[in-house]
Amino acid sequence: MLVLTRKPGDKIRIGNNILLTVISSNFGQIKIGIDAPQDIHIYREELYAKIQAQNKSSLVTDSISITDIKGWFDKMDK
Amino acid sequence: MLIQNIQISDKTLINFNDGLPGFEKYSQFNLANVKGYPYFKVLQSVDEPNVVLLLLEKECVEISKNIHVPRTALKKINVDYNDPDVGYYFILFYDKELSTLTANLRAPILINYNDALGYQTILDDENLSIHYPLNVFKAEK
Repeated sequence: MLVLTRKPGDKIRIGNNILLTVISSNFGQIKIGIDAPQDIHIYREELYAKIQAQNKSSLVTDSISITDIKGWFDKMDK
Repeated sequence: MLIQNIQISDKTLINFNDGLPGFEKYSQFNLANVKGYPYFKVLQSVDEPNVVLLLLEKECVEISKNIHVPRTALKKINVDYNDPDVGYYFILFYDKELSTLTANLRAPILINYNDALGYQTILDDENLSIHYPLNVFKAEK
């Protein structure tokens, strides 16, 4: 991991197209601005990790058959 | 044919250029209908066939009418608001022990059928549940 020390107003360039700006630092929180192309998604890591975990938990296995869930289907009336 | 004991039909190849969170390296998925159950789809990784997910059409969840998908997410699959042939789905989680079925409203799957592109976006709205219980849907009916 590359570690840099910055103060408010300083910036960091990542690759050709991503620019981080340290906007402010108060009460143990840092406000960071991110300029990046729209095709690069940016998420709070704890949220991304939750979705990763949920996706992995959601894998359908042989032990789960569609008939297990049959009861729910009958109520899914548009 | 069967995927994990589920009878499927109309398999179509979809490219997920960003993979899925948790499966970032898998970009080729087959999307298939579930025989006999019109609102469900199966998503199976071509690279790793054990990676199988069950999807539910967004319209089946009443509160999802309020869900706003940002334009940046739609651009990931080359579409814009109101483009036709775009599918919105929630990944289902079935807990066999508890017999509970939940939908991940927070991270819907977007499909552009015309260009065979897919993307799972993570929405900002903290009120959207990752574990939305589908019996709530029953109650609303």
